[in-house]
Amino acid sequence: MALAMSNFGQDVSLFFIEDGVLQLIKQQTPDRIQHKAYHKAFGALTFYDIDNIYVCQKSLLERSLTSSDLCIAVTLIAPDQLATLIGNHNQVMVF
Amino acid sequence: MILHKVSTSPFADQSLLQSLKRKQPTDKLLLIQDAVYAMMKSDVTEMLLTHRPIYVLSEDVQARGLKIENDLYQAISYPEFVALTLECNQVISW
Repeated sequence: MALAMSNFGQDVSLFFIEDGVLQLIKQQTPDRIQHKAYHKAFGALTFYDIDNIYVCQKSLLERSLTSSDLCIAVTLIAPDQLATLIGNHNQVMVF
Repeated sequence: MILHKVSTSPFADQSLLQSLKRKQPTDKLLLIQDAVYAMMKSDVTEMLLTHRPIYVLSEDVQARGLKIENDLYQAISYPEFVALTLECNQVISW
């Protein structure tokens, strides 16, 4: 969805919060349970000019993760920053 | 002896905590699918200490890029999962 929107020239931001941050963990092997390895697509985001990738620092901390455990470079945000940042966007979709 | 099988993340819902409340000391606990994320949650790990060993499905741990860092958790394969269900009188899927 994010890639498709970007193709239409929209400025896209991605926010990973709560269990969503687990999608970004390095060294996942989803083929072990016959799932698609779509975490590999995160590396392509930058080629689609999607550079605003935000991750909730508190959600990481609760899961004993740091940004070095993630497969792409992200911007860490505090929980109270989320509301402010979302306020800057016209459309918000939750997955 | 009951096998309590939990499949959802303890960050997302209460299934794991609810199963723990109803677990007898002789019962066994198996974490599959997103429930293996319990290994990352320190307060849950602490609660599980008295219930050792906690079985986790190896395939689901590896698929999610996790590593077992506490000997409380014991990785099992699918055949071992089947053996565990046969060993127990009942299986409850939380």
